Amino acid sequence: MQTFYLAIVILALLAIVFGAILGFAAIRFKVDGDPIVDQIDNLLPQTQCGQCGHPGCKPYAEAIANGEAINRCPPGGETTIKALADLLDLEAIPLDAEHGTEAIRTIAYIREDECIGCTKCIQACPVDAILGAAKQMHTVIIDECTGCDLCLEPCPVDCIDMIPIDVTPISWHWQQPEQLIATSSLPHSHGESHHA
Amino acid sequence: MHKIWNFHGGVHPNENKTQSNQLPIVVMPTPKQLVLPLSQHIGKAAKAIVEPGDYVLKGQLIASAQGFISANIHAPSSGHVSAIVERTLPHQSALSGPCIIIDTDGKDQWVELNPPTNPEYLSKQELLNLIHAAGITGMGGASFPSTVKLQLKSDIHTLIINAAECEPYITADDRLMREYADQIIASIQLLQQLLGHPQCLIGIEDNKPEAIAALNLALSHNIGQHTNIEVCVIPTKYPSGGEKQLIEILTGHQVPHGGIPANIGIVCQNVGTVKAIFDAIFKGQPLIKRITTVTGKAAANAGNYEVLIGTQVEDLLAFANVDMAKTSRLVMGGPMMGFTIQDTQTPLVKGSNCILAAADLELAPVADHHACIRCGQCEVACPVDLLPQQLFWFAKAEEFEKAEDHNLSDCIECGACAWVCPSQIPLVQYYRYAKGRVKSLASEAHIAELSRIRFESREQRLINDKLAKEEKRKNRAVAAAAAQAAKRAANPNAEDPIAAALARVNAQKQAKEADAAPKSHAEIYKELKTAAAITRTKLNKTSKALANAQTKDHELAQDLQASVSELTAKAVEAQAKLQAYEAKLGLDPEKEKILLVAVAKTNATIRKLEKTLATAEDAQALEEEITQAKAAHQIAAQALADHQVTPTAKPASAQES
Amino acid sequence: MVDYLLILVSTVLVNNFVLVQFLGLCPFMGVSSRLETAMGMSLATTFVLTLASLCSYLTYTYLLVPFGLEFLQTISFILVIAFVVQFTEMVVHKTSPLLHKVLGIFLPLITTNCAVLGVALLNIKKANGFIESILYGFGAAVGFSLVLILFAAMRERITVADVPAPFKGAAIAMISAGIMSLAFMGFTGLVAI
Repeated sequence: MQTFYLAIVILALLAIVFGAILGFAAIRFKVDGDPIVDQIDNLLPQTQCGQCGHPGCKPYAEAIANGEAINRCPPGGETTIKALADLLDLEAIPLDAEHGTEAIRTIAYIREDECIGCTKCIQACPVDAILGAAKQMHTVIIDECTGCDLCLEPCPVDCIDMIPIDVTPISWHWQQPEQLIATSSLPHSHGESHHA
Repeated sequence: MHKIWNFHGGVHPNENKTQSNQLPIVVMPTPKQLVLPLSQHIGKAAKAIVEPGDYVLKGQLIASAQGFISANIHAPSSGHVSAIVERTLPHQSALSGPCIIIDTDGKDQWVELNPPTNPEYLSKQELLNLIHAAGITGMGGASFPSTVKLQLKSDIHTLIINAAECEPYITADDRLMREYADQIIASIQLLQQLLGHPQCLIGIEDNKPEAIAALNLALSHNIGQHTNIEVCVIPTKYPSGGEKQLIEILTGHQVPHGGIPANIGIVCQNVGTVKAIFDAIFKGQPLIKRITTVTGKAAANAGNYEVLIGTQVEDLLAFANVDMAKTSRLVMGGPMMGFTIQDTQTPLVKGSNCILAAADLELAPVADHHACIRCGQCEVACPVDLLPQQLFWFAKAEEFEKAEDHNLSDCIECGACAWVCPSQIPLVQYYRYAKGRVKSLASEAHIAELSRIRFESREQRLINDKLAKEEKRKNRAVAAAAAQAAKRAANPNAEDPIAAALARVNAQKQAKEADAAPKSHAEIYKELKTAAAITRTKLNKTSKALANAQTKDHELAQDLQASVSELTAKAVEAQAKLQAYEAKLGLDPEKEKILLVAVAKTNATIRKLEKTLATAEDAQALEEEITQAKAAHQIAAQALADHQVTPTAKPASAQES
Repeated sequence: MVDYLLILVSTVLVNNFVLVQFLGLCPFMGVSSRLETAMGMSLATTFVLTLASLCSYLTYTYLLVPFGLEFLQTISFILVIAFVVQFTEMVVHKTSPLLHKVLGIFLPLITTNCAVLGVALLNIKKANGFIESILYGFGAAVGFSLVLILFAAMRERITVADVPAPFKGAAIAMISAGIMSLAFMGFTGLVAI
């Protein structure tokens, strides 16, 4: 019987001592905020388009930190999903088609003949990429436009087009070579040659 | 004898030089058309300073350098500028870029040349200015503007002349040295003068014995002067002509990662560039020509040709009797680092050192490749001592960060690893892809960062605006209350201030309406166009919402249906008005002007009379005048309205003029 | 001195806890997909194992044995281990939030890692002294880390290799682990412990 009580006492003693140390450590090593959110936000493309269902990239970063799926960002595409997967040690899942498909980058262009100067698009742009004022001409600053499409909706005369960016010799890059696996068949004719 | 070191790796492909180095350089006659791309060099494209239709002389400046890293472009022959249009560029992508097209007139007339009389007495800056003005860029293939390389602030103790020409098939520099050795030595002395008299080492491979002899002969002509130039013969190995590899061979030092040769006190210039500098300083000629090798079994007259910059490849091929039917692949550059071209109208530019017209099976066919067997031959061959196998794995798996950690950016894309690979993997393509992705990811990240900052600034601005507005409103409310109280205290019998204010505003509005300038055609047209566009857009949006609602909410769909019908009617009406007005446009603008002026005049008269009425003695007479003036105004306004379409006119009545 | 060396060689190579005694397989398979996380996990486990081994020994020798409560060893060791792991988690959370996020659930799972409890119980079974207990725990951790890092490096290569579809993912990882285990069995008989 004595052993029984002794056992309980010893275990209780251990528990109290450990509990006390842990309690102290919890206060001493308290962590404020969640810097992981900033790191996630740095990987997102910052178009602030809202296609992920959140009002901007920072809210989506916070949602991801709380466990939301990482495949909701169409402008980021595969690259962003892979980067997020690497950062958070998750699996890289394909893009969620419900939120849009990965498209090439486009820039907004206002047809100036039809613009009536209502400033509705200026108010809608999340990065202030449209220059203009009430009853004055509106125009898109190409370098700042992220292609988020948010200005198309508010325009009452529907005078905004989304135009893809042209490739120049400076922005052109090589594609990944075709991954051809040789078979035992004879080599085919070399009519279409691409590389020296 | 200068000591020779060695660099890691390297390969020994068949040299194939005898195909083209047996005969002297042939000057190609001026072609009918010259195509000068505005960007033939690393750095910013030059800006054209001629217009289509201008007549230009040979050597005349036609595009000026933009910024520090850029180069001038000169007309290679006299003729007329026919256009400045997009043409295929000599670039792997086969993209087009703006080019100045010159239709030559055959006269080949030089612009007035002013070579300096005593180049030995020119200062460093004067020499650099002449080199810059002549538009000289690296002629070994990279096309880097030469003045940028030559005017670095560091102390230069060694000038290396790259005469290695290590790539198989190419023999342009070989023949150049055999025939212009004296000019090359003279130019080197000038460069030594420019750079503060460093020692000069000419690195040349041992497969060019005639060129070595020519250079040594030229040096012996200078026995009286202390030249400090030495011809260093190096063993033939590909790619010993790479700038960093040649530096390692001749000095034993390696250029640090991410650095340039100037960091270790060395400047490297291609021997072709050196000859171009001779022409620029001693003859006053800008860079308008170069030696290009035409080779390959499909070329009947393989050899070296002095071509004008801007010559289209097809003209050169015709002159060299290249059999296009036999050509299975047309390569611009050499077999290791060149690229295939499809468009034979591609122009030759300052860095085009070779055209290789390969007959069937002369070049290895593009084969299917096998899996990597991890043999490690690529590492043995790499001149930069990288791990090509690892780079290949990372490039394939798109793990670009790891590739960068393995010094992907140091790869010189020489192709030695791909040449030795037993599985025939196109390794260099993978590295180029990886480098491109690294660059584009970096630029995307940069753009995203800027967007994020803009977004956050905007959020901040909106918050600040809201706070400021709140402040203002509070202040104004307080002030207004105080003013009210004060007024009431001062004058208890005053009429209701609000009613008085309203009356004032109404009066002002009426006066403004009467005063308003009559609208011109353009303004009315814009108004109608806008109204039509607005109703059309509203209709589109409501239709879209209707389509959405029809699948989900039927009650909402019914409401929307009604709106859609209403909007459709409105849109049709607005469109009709617009079209009617468009039919009316083009009517006598002169008459409109006269009518506008008349209306404005009568308006002004009324205003003036009303003003004097306030202070006049004879009120009655004035009032009569005012009434007359108002009547005149009415008539004038009516005439104008008749001339234009009035807003309330029905579509049918728009037919009458 | 030689004894201590023998303990280390035994726990790291001959009787490797993961590949020979098959303890601690959960974090071995779960955290080894990337080299950085594997290294972080190794550090965390080394810290926990050494400390837990020491604390368990002290608890057993100075608390349980004097009162004849040896039968409480399992539950009191679990208490000790849980405490050490929780403490480690707090420290990691503070010093490296990224590592904390990345290790995720595997950090508290060190508590249930049978290798940790195994080390504590084996210390008792082998009647190790104070220094031996520490070395035993440390050696076990080094062995675990060695295998974890080797396996992670291999798995990174396997990810980009041309693996047939039925074998992709966990399957090829298990097979590779099995082959590694076969290799480690070559150490048998190296040291008689």
